[in-house]
Amino acid sequence: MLCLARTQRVPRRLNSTGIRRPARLDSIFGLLLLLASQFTLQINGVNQVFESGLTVSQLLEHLSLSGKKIAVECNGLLISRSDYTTFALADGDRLEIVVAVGGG
Amino acid sequence: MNALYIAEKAYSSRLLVGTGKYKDFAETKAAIEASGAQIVTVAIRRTNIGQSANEPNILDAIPPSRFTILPNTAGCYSADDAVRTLRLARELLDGHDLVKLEVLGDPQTLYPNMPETLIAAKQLVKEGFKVMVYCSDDPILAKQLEEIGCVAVMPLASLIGSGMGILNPWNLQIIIANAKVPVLVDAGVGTASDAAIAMELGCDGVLMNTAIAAAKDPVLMASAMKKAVEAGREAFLAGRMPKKLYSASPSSPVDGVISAAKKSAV
Repeated sequence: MLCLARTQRVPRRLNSTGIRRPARLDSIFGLLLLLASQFTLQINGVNQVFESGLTVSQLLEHLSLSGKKIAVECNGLLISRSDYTTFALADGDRLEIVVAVGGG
Repeated sequence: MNALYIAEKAYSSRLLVGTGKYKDFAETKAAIEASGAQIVTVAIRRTNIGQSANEPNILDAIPPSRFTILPNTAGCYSADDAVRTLRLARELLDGHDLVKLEVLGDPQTLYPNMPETLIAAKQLVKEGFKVMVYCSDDPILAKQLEEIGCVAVMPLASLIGSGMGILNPWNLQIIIANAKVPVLVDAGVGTASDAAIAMELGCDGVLMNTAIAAAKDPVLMASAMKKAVEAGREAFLAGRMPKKLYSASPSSPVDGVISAAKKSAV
């Protein structure tokens, strides 16, 4: 369900090396390794590694940004606040998290 | 004084101010209060990940409940970046759709990139934004922005942050004469007389930041700008006297002046 919500919005990206993961896995061990693998998000230009998949709202909680006056973009597309709890982040996603600051 | 209407909303103040370059939020707030501005610009920037938990926010100092917040696209050099920034801004401000579009050409002059500005304006209008647009003082481009559907056109008086004042009053007057939407001078005002001149030319308003924030006493300058914009507006409405070149006209009656005292005989 999470994946469905996500793929409707953002086409799945290649991983960070630009190579698609192999479609077939050689062993159960490989499958387990993949499931347990870390994944990387680029947040405001800085890479951060996370242990497991998470939604935008879980990420914001992790960053102590829940409830703040912010807005979030994933891979160039705005994520509506109402989608934070369902939008699942994937390896290699580029996030922009912005606030209002003084400016003319 | 009649109200300024932008996107069908009435504002009693014709001075719009930025919130950049102030010492702290207390000074920002004091200057904005003194300016009497109702529309206040903010920029959109990446949040400091890891340090932002209790960082003060500009929207606490300048609450959207009291001010019309005008998010800008300062720092954007392409239509795409500007559109993305304002989509984020609209989400950040709970669907508030009045925005200031500026697409810059280069970091030395901060002169607007007009081809990109036109592209961004079209897209934003299509997406339902109410676009106030920073532009060059080219009358044809200003008209095109109006025809695209921008709710206000905002030509520069001179370069952003330069304080050089009104460099081309003639172009501004052509833009004003042709426009059916409000024309605001955005950028270049240095001191109160510049703001008054803009308003005397018939501008509907003035947007400024550095002229107030970089003054020695920003709060006092904010107060001066408020008066200058009001004075300039009243002078425009009153209609100035025609200029008489090379011929004076006495203000006092010509008749009834006492005669010269007679010189006493020696």
